[in-house]
Amino acid sequence: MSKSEKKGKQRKTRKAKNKDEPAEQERPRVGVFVCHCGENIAGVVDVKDVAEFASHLPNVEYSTDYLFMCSKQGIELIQKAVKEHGLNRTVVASCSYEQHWPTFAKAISDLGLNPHMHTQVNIREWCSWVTDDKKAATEKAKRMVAAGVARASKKEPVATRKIPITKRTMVVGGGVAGLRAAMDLAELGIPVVLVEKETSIGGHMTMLNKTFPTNECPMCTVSPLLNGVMSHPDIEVLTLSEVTNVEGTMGHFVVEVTTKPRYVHDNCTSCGRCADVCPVEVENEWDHGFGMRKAIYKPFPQALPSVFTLDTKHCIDCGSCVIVCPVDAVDFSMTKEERTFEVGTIVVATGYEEYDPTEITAYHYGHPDIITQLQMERMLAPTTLTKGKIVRPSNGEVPKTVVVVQCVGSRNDQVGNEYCTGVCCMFGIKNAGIIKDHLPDTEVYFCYIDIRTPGLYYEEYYKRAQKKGIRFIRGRPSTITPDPTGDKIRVEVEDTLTHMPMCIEADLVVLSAGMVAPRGFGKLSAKLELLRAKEGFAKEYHVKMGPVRSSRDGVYLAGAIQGPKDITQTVAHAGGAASAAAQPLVQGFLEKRMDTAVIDEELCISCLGCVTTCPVGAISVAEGEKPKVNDVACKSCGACVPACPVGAIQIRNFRDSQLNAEVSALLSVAAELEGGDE
Amino acid sequence: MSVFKNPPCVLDSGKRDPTIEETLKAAGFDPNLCIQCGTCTASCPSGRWTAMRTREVMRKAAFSIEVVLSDPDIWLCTTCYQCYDRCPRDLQVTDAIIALRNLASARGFISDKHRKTVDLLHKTGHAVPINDRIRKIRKELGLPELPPTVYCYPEELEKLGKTLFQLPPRPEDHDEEEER
Repeated sequence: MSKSEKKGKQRKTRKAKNKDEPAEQERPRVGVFVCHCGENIAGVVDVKDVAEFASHLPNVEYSTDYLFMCSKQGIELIQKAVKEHGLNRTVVASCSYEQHWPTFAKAISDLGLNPHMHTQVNIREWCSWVTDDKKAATEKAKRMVAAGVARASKKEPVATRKIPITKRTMVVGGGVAGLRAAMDLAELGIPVVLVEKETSIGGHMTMLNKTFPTNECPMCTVSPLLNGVMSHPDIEVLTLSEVTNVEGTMGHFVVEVTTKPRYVHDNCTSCGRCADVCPVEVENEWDHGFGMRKAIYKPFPQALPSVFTLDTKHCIDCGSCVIVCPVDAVDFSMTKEERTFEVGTIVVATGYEEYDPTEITAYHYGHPDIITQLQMERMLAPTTLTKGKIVRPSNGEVPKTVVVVQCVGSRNDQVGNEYCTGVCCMFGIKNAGIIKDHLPDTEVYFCYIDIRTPGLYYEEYYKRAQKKGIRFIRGRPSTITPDPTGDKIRVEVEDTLTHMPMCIEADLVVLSAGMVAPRGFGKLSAKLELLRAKEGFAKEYHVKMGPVRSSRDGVYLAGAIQGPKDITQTVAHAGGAASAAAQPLVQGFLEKRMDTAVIDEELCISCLGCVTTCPVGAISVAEGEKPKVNDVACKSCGACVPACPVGAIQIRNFRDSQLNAEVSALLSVAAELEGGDE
Repeated sequence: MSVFKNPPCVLDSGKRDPTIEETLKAAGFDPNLCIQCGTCTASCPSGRWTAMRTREVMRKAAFSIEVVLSDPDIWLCTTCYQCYDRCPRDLQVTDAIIALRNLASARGFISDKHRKTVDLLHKTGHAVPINDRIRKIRKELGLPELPPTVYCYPEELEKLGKTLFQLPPRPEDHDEEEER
């Protein structure tokens, strides 16, 4: 402690190196405000006693308690006390720093005080909420307030700096979420870079045949957005591209994007002659086994960008496409391209993946007549092999009995997915209804555990499906087995409502596979340093109040990457993400509180321990000079402080002297209170 | 015959038997976590032919009422572990049925056939005691008439009887045949 004090004196004599280093400060005059938080605190802590105790603490000029400090009246009470008693520091003993420090800091900064002169003491989460013991809670609250007052007395004013930021956003993922976010951002005048891994944009929505609850054609509904994004002057679309490196922080991310070669130039007119002559035919991934494509292809007719792609994995280098192309667009010499973008914010919209039911061996997924809902969508598409007809993939016959099976890979602890995808009930009901519409003589069974259709027009949609004559069976099939003696699929299920175990002999089984986090997201989330939920989706900042923020400043989440969502929810979520990502860019600057690391050059011995420890690379050192902290990059994490062998690096307002004062007060009051008991 | 033979069921929390829930939880089956999806019943090779409805047994167990112990259906489980293998909530269904059976027999709820087996064990030390035919065959093969098991040591049988599972008598108000 003495070292730090000496350091303070030394500083004053030197020329101002850090503009905001502790100056000669006037005598601390602290005001203590103890909040009842209704019954949240006052129900356990004797707040009057705490306020009374605080009034005797050193430097405390004023102390009181109030029902709700964060109310307008509470804030006015603080401001009045500051003015009347000439307070220069405030301590509010209430809830968490995260929740209300900004509220009270603003209250005092409105009066001209530095906002950092406010100290928040959390006697709710850290005290009253964790015990019913009133006496112990009151004592703990007193100790915490005493520590807060001691810390407050030592606090230094800290500047807030405005940092200019790069006005550009990167949207990762070109599904409906990414498109919506990109469009909304671009419409605000913010340049957008849209990065899509696949050959075309549009994502899962373009694979669907109909959308609930209106049975609209999804391609028709999404294509204005697709075309809008493609032709928007402020949006740069990069397909076949992936984010390979991310550096920097909010406001100044430097993102490296690698683009795989398409082997077809953008002057492609999409005439399709290359595909006509291509001798190689393979399964089209886009159609999930229900369509074929050539080695040079467009996954579906409306694909954007409307350019063919050469798949070198299957290409036999015959060169037919090169010869036949009327505009010489096919070019085998194209190579991988790496580009770097500076962006202010990033929106992650990498979507979901359909659960692969192979793992549930009892369901025998892999048999041609056992398909998933996404495969059903492709079967119903007019561009695939079935030409939109519902048939048994094994023999092309019209199915007489179809079973739709819900909760495949959702609500299943065995496969590690405890959650309910929440979309499949509507998804399954929709396809069951479409099957019944196409084939009125076919029996359609719908095996479910619970029907979950909350929201406007969803229950009505369910009712419409019931009217069509779909047989709803409340029970989860135990096994789905191809009959070895015939060509039927045997579905064993109990109708739990009549207690009847039964076997349905089906021609076609459609599995409502859940939504899971996309494969490969781990790599991207590691590059972006995002926290993930145990299910693999990206974790939001706060489930209620921050669903579009990620765990990292400046990175936002749009759509199903935050958790399973239907299209309606995805579009709304993406709009929210776009507005959150646009907010700092529209403002044009970031406000950063400079309670960052600061180096005392006289104490520093240039060991460079801090430079190597800093996780964000905020400390740099030039030839022959002492290390310097980049205030903008510093995250105030404090990792550098213990790395310094001489105590030369400190975090403003977390200096050793300040923390020592806090801890000493905590301990000395404890001794006092215990002594009083005896 | 009256049509009003089933009085309305009144749920009396006082009749809840906490031991049932505790026993099941110890066996790895929290009956409150069951979502009644019916995967167990649909998996059950016994239930396809008999009155055994695994899901229903688990539902009754969730109410912790003694009916679940006196229910003869719990003895129809073949302990094949198919339900255990497939439960989407990963509950240990088969172990729960075994635990229920243990608790049921400790209270005297056990089918006549199983009870007879226990009685034979007490009486002879064997679940399947020796009979005249076997005695004859043994003699023909030149073996002693009785195998060198507890048959040859009647004093040991008495000791065995003391350590064996003691089956309490059937509760008086319970008639298995009527329940069926």
